Amino acid sequence: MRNTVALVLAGGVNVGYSVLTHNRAKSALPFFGHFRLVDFVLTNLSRSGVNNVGVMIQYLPGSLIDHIGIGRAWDFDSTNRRIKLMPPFVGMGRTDWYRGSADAIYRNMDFIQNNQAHDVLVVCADHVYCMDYRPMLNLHRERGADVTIMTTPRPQGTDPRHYGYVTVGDRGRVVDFVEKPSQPPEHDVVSTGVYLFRADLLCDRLYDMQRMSSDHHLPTVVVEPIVREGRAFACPFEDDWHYLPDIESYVAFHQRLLRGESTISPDHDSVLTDLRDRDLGSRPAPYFGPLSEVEDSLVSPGCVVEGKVVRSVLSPGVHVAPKAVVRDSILFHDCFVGQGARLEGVVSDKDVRFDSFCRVGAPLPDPANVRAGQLTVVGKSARIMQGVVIEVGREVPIRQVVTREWDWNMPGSIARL
Amino acid sequence: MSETIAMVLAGGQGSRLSILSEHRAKPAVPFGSNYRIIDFVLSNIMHSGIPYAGILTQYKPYSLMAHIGSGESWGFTSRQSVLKILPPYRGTTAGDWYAGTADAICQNLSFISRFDVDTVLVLSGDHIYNMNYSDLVEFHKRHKADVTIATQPVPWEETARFGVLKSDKSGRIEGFQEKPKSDPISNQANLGIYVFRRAFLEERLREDAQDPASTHDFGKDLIPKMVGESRCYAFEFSHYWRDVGTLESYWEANMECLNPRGGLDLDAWRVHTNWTDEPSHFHMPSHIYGNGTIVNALVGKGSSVRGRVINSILFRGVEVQEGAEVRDSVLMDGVRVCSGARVSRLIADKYAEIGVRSVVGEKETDAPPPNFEHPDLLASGLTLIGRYTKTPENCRIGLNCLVYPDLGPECFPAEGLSSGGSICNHPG
Repeated sequence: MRNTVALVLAGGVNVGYSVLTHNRAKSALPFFGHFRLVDFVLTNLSRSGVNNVGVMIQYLPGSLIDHIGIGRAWDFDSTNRRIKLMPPFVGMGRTDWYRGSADAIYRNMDFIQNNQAHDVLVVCADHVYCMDYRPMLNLHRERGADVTIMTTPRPQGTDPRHYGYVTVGDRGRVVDFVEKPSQPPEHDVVSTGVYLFRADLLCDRLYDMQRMSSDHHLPTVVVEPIVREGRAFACPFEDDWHYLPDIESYVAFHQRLLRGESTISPDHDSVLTDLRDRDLGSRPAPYFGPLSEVEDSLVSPGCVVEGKVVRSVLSPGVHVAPKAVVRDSILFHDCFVGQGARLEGVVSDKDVRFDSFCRVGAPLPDPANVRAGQLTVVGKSARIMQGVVIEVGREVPIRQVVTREWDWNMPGSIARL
Repeated sequence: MSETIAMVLAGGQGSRLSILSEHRAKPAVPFGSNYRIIDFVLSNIMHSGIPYAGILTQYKPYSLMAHIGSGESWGFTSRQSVLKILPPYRGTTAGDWYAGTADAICQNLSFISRFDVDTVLVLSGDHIYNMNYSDLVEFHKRHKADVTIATQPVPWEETARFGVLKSDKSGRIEGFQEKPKSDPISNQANLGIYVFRRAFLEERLREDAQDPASTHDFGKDLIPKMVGESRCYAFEFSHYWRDVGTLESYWEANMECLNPRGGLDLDAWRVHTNWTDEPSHFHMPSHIYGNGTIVNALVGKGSSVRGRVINSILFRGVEVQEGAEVRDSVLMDGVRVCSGARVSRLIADKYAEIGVRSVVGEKETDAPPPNFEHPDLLASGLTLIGRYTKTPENCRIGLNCLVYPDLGPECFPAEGLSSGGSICNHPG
């Protein structure tokens, strides 16, 4: 994809993941064992042959910066390929945070210009899909489009107000586009947040925005006007695409992946991730003990399974001791589940210690369709002491030691950063 | 400050590993699901903080060289820490194939002289153990030794396989026997881990190079001469150490990965490997579908299991299909056990495929005969299938069988292969 630069929007504020995103951006969230959400988009860009990628970061970017580094995992560390992290900055008269996605691109417009880009691909960092962007670019250029919007049928069972709706006319021409309407239209063709812009036109629009608009949101301030006045086309995406707005959708999607029900398969598609993090590349193969029982589960390198693991995802280095039960759960890196402990419907961040005979959460009534209040979420490096019972729906703060006497109504129990 | 350099002998063929080392040097033979044999020594060097290493290659070095690369996986990345692969070379004055272990080091004395080192560690690239060499080097320096040899007690009846050393209370070596056929003087075996005072080593190597009667081997020629003449010390290493020179010992050492308390703890010592050399689908989590039974097993990265796996080591990207059963086996990268197949006591090299409902390694009689072609290599009831070989459907293969690499289903006789049989890829 010569003459094309990609900009990855990774700076947005996230809600919906409770204590798991108290210390990291959503796109840096661990996913399906040893991946992180952002790996999908970075793998797509790498395999599509995009040579210049900028990543806009702002909200809790630490984990993301560590994870992306110089982009080595995605082969962006070579002479003619690079990835650039783009934090907000002061200087040259500007003292502000990014005010929105369009503002973030405006502030980094020199990246587009210095690379003499003909087209600009804009993607979101936290969407889950496997795609080669090249056919979309070919279509975009053949049609002489000002913008091409990748569209998909709205994923079932999701909130209709989260999406931008694309009305497609003859020959793929977009006749109407409306972002997050309060009254969603009849049809369900929505934007995936993947846009290809003609670079000069995008820059013009951003200059106009800077002069005239108080809105700095890319779909409304750039895409909607181009649809009204210019040549906008849709490019339908035929495969699975997911947005996963909250932890319930995240867990339900993991359950589909475990059963092989999605066309997305991070393991078979070899999604690329940073294996230097926590020495992942050198961890030994997972070990299954003499009394282990495993059903429909994903077990990562460095794991030791001596107990029972059902419909669960274990990230690298998780240890499940004898007689422990882990069901319908997702445990991030290096958690320890002690003897006889029982975890059901739990999502636990890294380095949590579940001491022996603790009981956390309750089984999911329907693992494919998770509702609010059915999950129990544990923050990073927390410790659940021996024999403690944690009811379903609770949220354990980061680094909290939970004893039998722990008072859930204490103010400190809401969130501790 | 003067440092230590490690010279790793990695040129051996390992002919007793049969077809496993037909395409690769023994140190490059895959081991323990995730590793190659040489990873253990390289990780030891790394964890001991030794800044310089030379790897001496000769036999089929391609896999090994690709695997070691620049040494980055073992922390050899800076100007202060150097790892070099040292193949045989020719020059105007010297150079030829390495005639023996001592000759290999002798031909690379100029490499050693590039560094400010006073101590030279000579190691074998084909042993499995976790060891911090600092203790050994410290012992060597404290005793002002010319050479220190790491030893380990072995059962008396096995002394004929080793060089044995007798030492006094202080550790000073009084006697040495190379592979004694009878009356061993000791059961302390030479582990092939030597520390030399650099000047002493150079002097002895030059001397040995001039000796037309010498085979230029440390164990056979140099060490016996040194004992008695020089300050030779023995350092007892009492932890896990295995020479995986035979198929039986290779299989056993793999199985010992299943018991960290047995001394081989892959995670605690953190054995490093060059994973960047491997395809990305070998770095995925392992997926267990349905209620596949997995008992006492390592299930390699990127493997998928729909059947039963018992007491086995699966390497990366192994596929065990529905209704298949794997027992007491070592299956290397990309091996596929098709639905309904049953294998036991099988060592399968990379990308071998066991056909639908095939049965491998099942006893037909109480005492299966040793392999007819290589009774010395295959007698303990293992069966070996070479890389890329595909067995036909419903095929029965017995014990002590040897199936060569790159064979298609059409190469197998309809009645299968009974115990002790071989199928070769070359005429006769």
